[in-house]
Amino acid sequence: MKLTLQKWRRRSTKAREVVPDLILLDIIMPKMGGFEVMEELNKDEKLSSVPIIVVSNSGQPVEIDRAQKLGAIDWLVKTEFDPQEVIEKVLTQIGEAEE
Amino acid sequence: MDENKEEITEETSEEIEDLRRYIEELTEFLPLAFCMVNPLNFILDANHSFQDITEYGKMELIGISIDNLFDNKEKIDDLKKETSENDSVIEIETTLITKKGDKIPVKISALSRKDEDGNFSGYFLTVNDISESKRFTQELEKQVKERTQELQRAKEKLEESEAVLEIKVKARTQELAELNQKLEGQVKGRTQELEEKAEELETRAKDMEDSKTALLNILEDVDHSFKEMDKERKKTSAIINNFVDGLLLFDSLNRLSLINPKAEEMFDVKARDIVKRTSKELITFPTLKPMIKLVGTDLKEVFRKEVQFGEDTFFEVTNIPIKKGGKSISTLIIVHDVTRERRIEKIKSEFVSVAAHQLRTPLSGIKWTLRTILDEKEGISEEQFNFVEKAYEANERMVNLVNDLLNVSRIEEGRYMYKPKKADLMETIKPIIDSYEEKIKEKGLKFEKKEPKEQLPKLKIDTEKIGMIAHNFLDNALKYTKEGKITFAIELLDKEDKVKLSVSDTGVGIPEDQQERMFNKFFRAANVMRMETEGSGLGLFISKNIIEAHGGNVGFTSKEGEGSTFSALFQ
Repeated sequence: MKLTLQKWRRRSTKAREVVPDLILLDIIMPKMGGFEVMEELNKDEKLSSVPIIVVSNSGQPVEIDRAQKLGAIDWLVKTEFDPQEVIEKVLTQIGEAEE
Repeated sequence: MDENKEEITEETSEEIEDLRRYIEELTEFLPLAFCMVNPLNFILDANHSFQDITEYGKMELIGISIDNLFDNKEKIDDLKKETSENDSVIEIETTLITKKGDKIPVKISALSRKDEDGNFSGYFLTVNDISESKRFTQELEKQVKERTQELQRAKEKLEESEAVLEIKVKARTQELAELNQKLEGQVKGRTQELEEKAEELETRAKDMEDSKTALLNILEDVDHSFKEMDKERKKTSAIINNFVDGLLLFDSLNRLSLINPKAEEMFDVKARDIVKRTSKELITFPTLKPMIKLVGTDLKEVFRKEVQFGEDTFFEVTNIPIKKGGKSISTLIIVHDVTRERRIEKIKSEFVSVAAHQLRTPLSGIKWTLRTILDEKEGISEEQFNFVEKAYEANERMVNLVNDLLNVSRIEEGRYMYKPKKADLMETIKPIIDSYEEKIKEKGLKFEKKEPKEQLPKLKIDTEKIGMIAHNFLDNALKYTKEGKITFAIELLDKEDKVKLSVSDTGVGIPEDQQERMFNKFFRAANVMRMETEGSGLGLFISKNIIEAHGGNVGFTSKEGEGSTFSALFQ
């Protein structure tokens, strides 16, 4: 199930109980940047343990370090990956998470 | 009367008998040998000692001539004659012959006996054994003789020594004479020398007089030079004072001897507070600390090293030891303010970074869309597929160019961080080599891969960046080789301490006059430009930076028209 942050935010408290297996997160986004999203997720008891893969065109070392500190498990530069490769990464991660 | 006479006779004879016994006992007891001899030289009686010395028994002696007992009859005759005439003879030396025939030296003495009428009636003869005293005398004589001989020899020896001494004295005298002669010669020589020296001194005094005049002339010149120097010094000091860079001069004991106004301004210090202080003291001044930390309190040589002061001030420090005769006499620190340059560089770099990031976003949109179309293939003709594929490849090149720009800006910004970890070099670059092997073969070129038989040591590398080196080297080789072969090699050098990665090709090569610019940013050789219009000219620049950041060395050999070899040496 694909769920954007905006949609997730609009959900009722009950609906929010559905916890995603993985979060794909961009960094430069309108309204709220990826780092702020991660900070917010970390505050939520349930969501703080969800693995995050950053998919962004930024990717300076300082940014990667900051993302790692906030709990991101990987950082994919969009131009360096095909959609298929991203799907593979996601599957690997979810597979691991299910274990 | 007769009766009386008889009585007297009896009495007298008794007395005479006593007397006879007395004499007999006495003679027997006496140690002196003696006998009684009649005028005809026959022995009438002999005492015990006489018997002992002659070795005859008493009965054998009585009645024999005394002559038989001595070796010299004449001497005995003379003795008897002399005794009869003079009553006694004392101590005549002669030799007694014993019964066994032994000869004993003796001294004999005789005393005459006379009857009532005074006629010679015989004599007493005493024999005194003088063999002991004789022997003693002989021994004494012998010793005297020996001693005399010894004395003679000593005398001879003494005489000999005297002769030797005389010779020695003579030789010594001669030696002394020679020495004397020699000394005389030396004294003479010395005197001559002294005379010569005196002469020389005189000459020297004259020379000195001349030198004095010359010195006075020189002094005049020196005075003139001093004035010139002072002028020069003022000029130099004006230059130092108005120099656009900060200057700090330290003496051989690392004490600050000069600081120019620019440096005072740069470090916000006053010369009077810090001059004559050592580098160790200066490190306690907060504004000077970063610079002294860079050069060390021993002021080691430094060439254009950058130091940051505060938030955004950057100084470039150069420390040059000033040497005289191979010995460092002072140290000059030149501080150049590069804050403005750094600020411009930073702005430029940030611009490139942001621009690159902004460029990536649409590129990734294009890439992902085209990739999706290419992967699904449905609903498009083959021609359309080819167009899309070409568009995808062009987009990829654009992505690479943007990546290169981003990397360069990071290198220049000093933010091109390396995250080294122990890894197997071969394993790291294998996927890249495999993908290029395919592409090389597709182009119709031969490909060779050389690997050492031994296990490679694990190197401390940034795996992502190392991959870029292999990628850049192989990409260049592929692009600029039309025919022949591309060789990729990994070698172990220097007793397996160093690992060398190299890519050789039989491509166009690099013109000799352009080789030194090979690793410059955006540089592309002229022949290469003609061959392949695309290419950022950043690949080798990035590779060199990565290799050097790993503590390695980049190298290449090339001949135009024959090919090139690029290598990276890691230790």
